[in-house]
Amino acid sequence: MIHKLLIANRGEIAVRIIRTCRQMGIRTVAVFSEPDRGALFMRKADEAVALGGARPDESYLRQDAIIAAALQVGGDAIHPGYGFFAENAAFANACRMAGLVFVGPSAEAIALMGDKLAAKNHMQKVGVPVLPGADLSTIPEDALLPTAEKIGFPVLVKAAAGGGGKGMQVVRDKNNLADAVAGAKRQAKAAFGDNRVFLERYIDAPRHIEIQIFGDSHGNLVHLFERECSIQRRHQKIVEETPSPAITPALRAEMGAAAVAAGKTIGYEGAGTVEFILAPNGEFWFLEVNTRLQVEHPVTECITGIDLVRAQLLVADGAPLPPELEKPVSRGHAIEARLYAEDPSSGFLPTTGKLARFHVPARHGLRVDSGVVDGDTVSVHYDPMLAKVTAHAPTRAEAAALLADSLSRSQIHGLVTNRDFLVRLLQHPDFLTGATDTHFLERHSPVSLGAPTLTPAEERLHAIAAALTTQAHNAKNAKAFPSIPSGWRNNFSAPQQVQFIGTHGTITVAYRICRDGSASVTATTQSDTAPDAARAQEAAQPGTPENSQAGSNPQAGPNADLHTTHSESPESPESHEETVHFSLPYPEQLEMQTNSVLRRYSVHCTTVQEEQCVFVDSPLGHAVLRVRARFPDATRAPDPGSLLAPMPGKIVRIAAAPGDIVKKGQVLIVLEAMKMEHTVHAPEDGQVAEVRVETNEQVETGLVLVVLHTDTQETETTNS
Amino acid sequence: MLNQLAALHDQQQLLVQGGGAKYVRRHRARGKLLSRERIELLLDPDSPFLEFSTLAAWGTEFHVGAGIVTGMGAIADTVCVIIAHESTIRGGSMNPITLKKNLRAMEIARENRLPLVNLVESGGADLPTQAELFVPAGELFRNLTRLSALGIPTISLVFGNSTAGGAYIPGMCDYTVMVKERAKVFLGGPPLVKMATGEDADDEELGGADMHSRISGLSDALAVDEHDCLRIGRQIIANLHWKGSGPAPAYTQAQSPPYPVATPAPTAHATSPPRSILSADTFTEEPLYDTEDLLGLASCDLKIPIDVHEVIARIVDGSRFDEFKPLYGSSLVTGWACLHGYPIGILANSRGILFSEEAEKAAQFIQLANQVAKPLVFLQNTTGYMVGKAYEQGGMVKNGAKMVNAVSNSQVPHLTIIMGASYGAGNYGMCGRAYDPRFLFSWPNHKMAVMGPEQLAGVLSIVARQAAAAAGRPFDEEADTINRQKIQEQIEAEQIAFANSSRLYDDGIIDPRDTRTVLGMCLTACHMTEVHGTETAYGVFRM
Repeated sequence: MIHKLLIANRGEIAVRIIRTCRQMGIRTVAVFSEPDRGALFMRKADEAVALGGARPDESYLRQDAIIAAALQVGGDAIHPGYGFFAENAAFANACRMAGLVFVGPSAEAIALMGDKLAAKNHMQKVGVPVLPGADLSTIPEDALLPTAEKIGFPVLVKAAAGGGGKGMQVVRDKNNLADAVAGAKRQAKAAFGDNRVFLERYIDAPRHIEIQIFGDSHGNLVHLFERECSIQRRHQKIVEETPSPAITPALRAEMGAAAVAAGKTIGYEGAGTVEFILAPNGEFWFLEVNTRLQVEHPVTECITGIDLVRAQLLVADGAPLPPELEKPVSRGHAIEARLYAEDPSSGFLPTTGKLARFHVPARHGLRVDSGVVDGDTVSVHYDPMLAKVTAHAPTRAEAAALLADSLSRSQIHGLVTNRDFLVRLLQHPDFLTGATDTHFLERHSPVSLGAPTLTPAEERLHAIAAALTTQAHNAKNAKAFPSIPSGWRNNFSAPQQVQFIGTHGTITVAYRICRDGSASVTATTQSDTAPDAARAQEAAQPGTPENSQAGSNPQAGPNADLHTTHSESPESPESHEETVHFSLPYPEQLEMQTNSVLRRYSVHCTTVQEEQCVFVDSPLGHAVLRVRARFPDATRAPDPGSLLAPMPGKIVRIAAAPGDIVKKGQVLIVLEAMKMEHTVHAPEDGQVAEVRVETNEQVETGLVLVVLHTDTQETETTNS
Repeated sequence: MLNQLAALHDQQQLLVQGGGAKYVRRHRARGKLLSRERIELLLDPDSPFLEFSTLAAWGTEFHVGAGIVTGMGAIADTVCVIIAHESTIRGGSMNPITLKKNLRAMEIARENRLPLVNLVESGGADLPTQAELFVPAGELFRNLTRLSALGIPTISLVFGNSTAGGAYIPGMCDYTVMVKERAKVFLGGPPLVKMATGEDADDEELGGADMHSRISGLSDALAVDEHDCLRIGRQIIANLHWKGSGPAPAYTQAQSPPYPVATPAPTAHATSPPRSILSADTFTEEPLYDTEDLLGLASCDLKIPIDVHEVIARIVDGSRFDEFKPLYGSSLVTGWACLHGYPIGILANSRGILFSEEAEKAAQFIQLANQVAKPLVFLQNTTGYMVGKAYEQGGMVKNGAKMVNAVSNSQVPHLTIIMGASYGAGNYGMCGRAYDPRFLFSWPNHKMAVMGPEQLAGVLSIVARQAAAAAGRPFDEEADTINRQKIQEQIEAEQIAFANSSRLYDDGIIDPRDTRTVLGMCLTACHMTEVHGTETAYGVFRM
């Protein structure tokens, strides 16, 4: 019997494993890195052992420390979760050597399936269909092209030791082959310390179908239906579901049989996944076996009612397959969406920072697997997944609707996430008809799927809600005149004014609270794309005579400069004064009636990266409004010519030194984030004035990397 | 009443427009904020602001408002008095009424111990009126340093010229901030220096912000622009950590509302327990009766007394009023209530006339309020103490004197609202301007004079008739009619609200519906300093 389980992982999967352990009366032990001190999974575990460091190799990849931790607290088993040691044969062996139960398959099975080429060869031998391909480590360089041509373009270049999209590249043009192979080798070397790559046939419009298999130590092995994970970005899964809309019962039986056959040849124990690629014509080929619990296992659990972690623990303990696995039944449809801190509009770059609020509504049929809570920091160190949200409903359409609705009603504040992107994706007609091959996001632009949900007019409504709520809080918390009506004047000269920076520009809300408690409000959007430029302009030119109307117009704002900016705007910002009836039945909840429609706005004011922000959620959508400071601090603007980190990451290469004369487009800095290399180029010809970072330094978004003195800048300086 | 309010609004809007479109344009062309824009930025977001003496100089040769903005609001959670020069009106120069208004604001700062912020941009004295101005204006600078000596911080934010005598505003303040390239502070400008000593110097050298910040040390901080100056000013106030020394308002506990409070049903979105936005710790009860009705109450013909219970019910917390001696001297209503959480005593004229009983009741009530240090609110609508043989013989003067004595020597803060009539010694007994109420505001319908125009003209006529008879002259009836008419018109014009407010006989005319708010702000100010009653070796005299 397992009495105490150490979970050699972090985040949501650790939380999820702990949940089952609680059900089974198994004590839990977490291990944690320094950045994870205080994280949810660590607090949920009965005991937690510090591993030190931030980088995985300093913490979650310290095999000896983890095994020692298990022994130290008297644990009798280790669950590796996914990632880290999940598919590491040496670790599995080491656990067993230390007398600990490793919750997973045999080290042999892991080793065999871990080598993608060996796995393919093995499967080919036992009659499972595999894609034509070639191991490039055995092929001389001059034979590269002929080999690729034999396989047939397009080809996929893939790291032998890889997974999760690392070092993968599609080559359609034979002229690009050599470069792609070299790049893949470099990345594979960097990521896995193994530069072996292989080629395989690339299928257009394929679907990614995987079969959940489950075996025990008594030679039983079953499949628990398929999962479709075709919608991927950067070769990483983003929406997973079961059953697949592309699978007929016959095909399911066929693929299931192939998966079971594959599992049986390697004597698979525990939970595993056989991945296939499915062509539009129903042909399928073996891709690989994941010898672990998959990230997307909740969809299978939803439709079968099976707790896969429980089954894993029972089987690892030597028990035969639990009876419900022998005759699994599929009920309804489940869709999982992975909620990430990432920006779909900029190539899914990860975002970091404080998660000011994370709240997914509780719904029947909705499952949330998350490792984060309000106030957690999403750091550069680990995968920026916030949660897996899974909807289970009688039909696919209902599951999609439930998932989209729940996501849209979630409060996710403080970070840019892919939430709106997921919602639009789940509501997309192509998704709803089941047209979900792996090229879905090539046909449907992530930028438009992730575009702002609110129109400028709707965003203004949210800004009004933010202003009125802030106003009520200001009045309530005022120490000087705590119960006097907000903003009261015996001689009115100008409305109260607050400015927000939203998606569509700078929104100015001018309001006056009337005697009956309603507000007289004017909201305008200054749809400039560069608020900082506007700020600079204001500072330089606070007002011009032709735009100053305050003398004749008592409604003019208190800020002459802002008023001016508005009047100058070529696209006249919509602005009309209206009476808004509102109340705050709860501190963060504003009921506001505009144009005779009453809506409820949830208004959350907080500070994100030293900036006052207001997050407004309503039936119309979500607004993130950065409060424009009343007294902008001129000293905080970055130096002209500063090149900022586009995303959090690690500096891998510095290609410029102070004093260097650089050409426009020249690479200055290379940083790696989320397994991808990003380059910072010189925007203009110029001279490098400063380099503010070092190689291997971790940087946050917005950090100044390089200061460049450009020629245009010089001209400007001399002119002024 | 609505017409009167519209007239008030029109007059006040004149103030907002400063020196008129042309001067406002010119001011903005120089990249400057208007005085009211400065005030709005200086105040906390959503802070209330009670402007004083808005109709000063109404009906005179000077601009209404007297070229200066004064008022009270919250800066960095601190109740402050603000005095701002209206530089679009004759360059912010000062005339005798400006001085009076300025001094009144300083008095409010002193009596209530409120930090004083001067927003300075003034060309100095309005030279044509210097004879009436120059000598008394010295009090301005004297007061600044006396405030400081009393431990009341004074701050000057200099946005423009502050020259000659004006240089002593930043000079005498505890803290001074100057706006770069805008503030000019010197005793004599380049022409005067040239004339006096023959020295050539530009105004930046003589009094620029940079010079004062780096060389003379007159400026404590150099602001890069007006916004920066206001930001620094707010920071200075924040750094004072100014705390009132009077008792804090005793808010009603929300847990046990004295009347059923409608609580909205919780919804699915709720993440925290229901809580009114004005909850637990800061819960004030609004009056149960609609304050809008005050318009109707105030609209009455002054000959018809206002039932002051109706007024009280619309200004005090929860409309709760515990009347003292309701059956005795009922022309004057006295009693206890709370207003924005502050316990107060109220004296209110219910029927205009004050008899001996009313005078004695008032004297006793004022003593009681002093015994327990409760501020007093006077709601004036009085035609004066009763005259006539029976009343004189009944000791009206003697009894009226008790009331005047009590009002004069009472030490608790007094707040006066003139709701209607304010005639004769009733003005004194009910704490008129000369009796130094901390604040005095009036409704636009009020009339204030020694007596009504008809009565006054009639009295003069009778006196003239008697004089003629004594001298044996024939009495010219025709001339008397004309004269009576003339006098009546003069008093009619002088007794109206705007005319009284123009002379600063009040701190401003307010919309009757704002009475509760204005009193609430004034009470807050009064409680910034200790509230104590008169110390006496005697007990409270029962009268």
